[in-house]
Amino acid sequence: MISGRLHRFGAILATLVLLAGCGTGGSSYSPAGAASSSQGQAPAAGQSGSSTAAPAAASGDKVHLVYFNARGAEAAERALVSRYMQDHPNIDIEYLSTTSLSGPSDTDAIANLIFNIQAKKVIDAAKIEVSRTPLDLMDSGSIQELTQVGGDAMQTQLKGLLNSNYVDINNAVWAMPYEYDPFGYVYNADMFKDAGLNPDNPPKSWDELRQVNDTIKAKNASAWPICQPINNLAKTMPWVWTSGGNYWDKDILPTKADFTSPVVTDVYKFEQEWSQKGWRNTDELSDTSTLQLMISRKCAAVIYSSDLILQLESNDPKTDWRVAPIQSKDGNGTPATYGGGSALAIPTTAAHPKEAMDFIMWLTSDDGQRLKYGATPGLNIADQDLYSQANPDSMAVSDQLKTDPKWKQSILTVPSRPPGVSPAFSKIYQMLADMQERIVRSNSDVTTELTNVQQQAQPLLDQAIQNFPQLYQKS
Amino acid sequence: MSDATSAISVPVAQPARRGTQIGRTFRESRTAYMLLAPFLILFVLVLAYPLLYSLYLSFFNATLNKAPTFVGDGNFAQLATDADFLTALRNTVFFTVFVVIGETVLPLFLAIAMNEHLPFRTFLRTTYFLPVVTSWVVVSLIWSMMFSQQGLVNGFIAAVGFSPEPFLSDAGQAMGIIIAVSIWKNLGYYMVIYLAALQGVPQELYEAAAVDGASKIRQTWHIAIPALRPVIYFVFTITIIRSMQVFEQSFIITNGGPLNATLMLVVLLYRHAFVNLEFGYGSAIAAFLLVVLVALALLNRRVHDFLVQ
Repeated sequence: MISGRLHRFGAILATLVLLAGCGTGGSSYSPAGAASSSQGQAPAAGQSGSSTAAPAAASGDKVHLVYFNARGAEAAERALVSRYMQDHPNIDIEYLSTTSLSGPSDTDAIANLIFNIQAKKVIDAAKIEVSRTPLDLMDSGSIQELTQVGGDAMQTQLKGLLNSNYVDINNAVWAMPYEYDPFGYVYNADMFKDAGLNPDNPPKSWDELRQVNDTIKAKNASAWPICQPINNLAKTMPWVWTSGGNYWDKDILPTKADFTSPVVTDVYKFEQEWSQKGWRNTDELSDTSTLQLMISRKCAAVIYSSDLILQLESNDPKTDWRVAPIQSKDGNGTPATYGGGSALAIPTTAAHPKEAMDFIMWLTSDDGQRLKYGATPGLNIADQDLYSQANPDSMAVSDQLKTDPKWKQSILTVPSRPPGVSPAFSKIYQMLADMQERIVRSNSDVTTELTNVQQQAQPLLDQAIQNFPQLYQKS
Repeated sequence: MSDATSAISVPVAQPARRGTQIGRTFRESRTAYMLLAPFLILFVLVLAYPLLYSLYLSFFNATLNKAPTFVGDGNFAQLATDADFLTALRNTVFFTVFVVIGETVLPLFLAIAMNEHLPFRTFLRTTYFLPVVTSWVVVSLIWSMMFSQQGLVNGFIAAVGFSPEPFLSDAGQAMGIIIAVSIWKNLGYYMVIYLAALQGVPQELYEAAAVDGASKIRQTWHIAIPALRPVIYFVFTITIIRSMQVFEQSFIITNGGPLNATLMLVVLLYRHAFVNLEFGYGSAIAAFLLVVLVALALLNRRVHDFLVQ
């Protein structure tokens, strides 16, 4: 009898212990509290919103913000958060980040953020990719339009930031640009010298690039004269723009895909030529492998983020690294580049959008950017962490850093162009990237590939126009 | 004279009602159910509910922050014409065939070898088991670095005077590497299973066979392998199920490339669900995979029962 009771007691105790352990401890996240009931829904795309900000915290109350970083530069972001809390004792910021591997798309990298928003978890500010993600999140009703929250001060500050045309669509602002990531021709000047080339005169036209590639390949048969990510659209678009072409009828909210134009066709044929002649990488590039391939002299040049030069100089200071604009077909094209990077948005689940806006305004201010990029000392992060960020988004800070010998080459003066931002851009981007891989790896017919992808992309554009008529009406 | 039988009332046992039977069984096994409760609760929350919800979603067009739209069998009809899905299915089946053969046969030979009194046997067993306890992410990252253009393997190849191989850029070689890493990582696990079974085979059988003049190979073929038949069946079934769900190696080493040559069903499911946010279509792929795996398991069982009879 006693033995039976003891067994039952033990079983109950074990059950309770196990259930308590499994209860709510699966996540380190502790919500700041339910969003205020007076907070309205995020406005539909294109409409001037009427979302009501949460009531300001009573004076003396500490405001708890949740900041979700889905875009890296961990050390700098953590240090900035600490600094902001020091300067604003009434603000307590909970820092969250995603630790995804380098994924196939930025939506993949922010999946963690998206699921938190769908689960109605409070997130007050989020750092996201800038060229595709804001409109993806707008499409899914996950982020707030910032004009109502930030007012005139936000609009004024936006004018001083690069890439604002990626997020300011028809008087609706979906995020504040935060980091700027232009692409350029990053090359090893020592390899140029070894091959008898003048590194002070990098190639400006396609023919000059062909000569450079031939010369380097003849000198070093195992090297790749030019490397570029294979399944990628962002590094190919500048080739089209600088040669006077475009993928669409408009850079912002395009309505017509035009992939079969002569310039676009020529660019992909040119990229195919690199593969046919053994000039380009056969393995896909990642941030890590690009660094390794450049330092080991496997790649003589790479089309990549201009800030790669900071990491190259940091890891291999003895080599002469340079950056130049991407070549145009005839050497006389108008320079333009794809300006990737990151932006700061306020999700629809924010509990304190006003305070989140203040935090975002500080991060994107000239003072905040100077601190982030070491122009003003005080952040106390390692050089490696400082240089692994993309470039500053503030025009004033970029101008200031241009005079710094370390940053000079990273700050590209080539203007960026919006890549056809639209709610459909993410999906079309991947279609074009997959097409590029087929063209490069399997020598498929360029014209046929471009025609097929255009036929697949146009319905997606049409659907975006149908789903967001007000957004497109104003454009 | 009164009927003697009518003076005695013999109680007739009534058949127990089913409900009473269940109640009594539960009362008698109360402790066991309480101990099982945590697992059952977690099972429902973490496995059963998501599984059923995923099956439900497969009939809808579902994306983020929008109410799902019912599409009936639309997602499944789309599977039949989706080139990527057909490619992933073909790749997954190809992968499964080779991995099942490798993971069923090679560990058996290893176990037979490890069952002998070899020097450093314990060290060898530990070495073979080490990959099993290493994370798939770590293993995949290391193999992708080893077989990259500038990796260790090409460095060795170049050192002996040959040209580097495009391991991860060539469709066939990339699939070969995915298969190789899968077999290599699981060798130790199945070896241990076989070894445990081998050690249950009575030594007398081997001794009797040796007395009759049977060689080691004949002893293995006629004694060990028949004794291992149930274990071989178990390993065969488990490797099929696990191989059809391959994800980490394909995602991390090649991301399904080059040109979808190593694209697997679960990687495709991941792309649709978590990259394109097409939860309905991703769920349809998951439902398809579930049906295939259940069918394979049942077929396997039937074949086994037939062979045993």
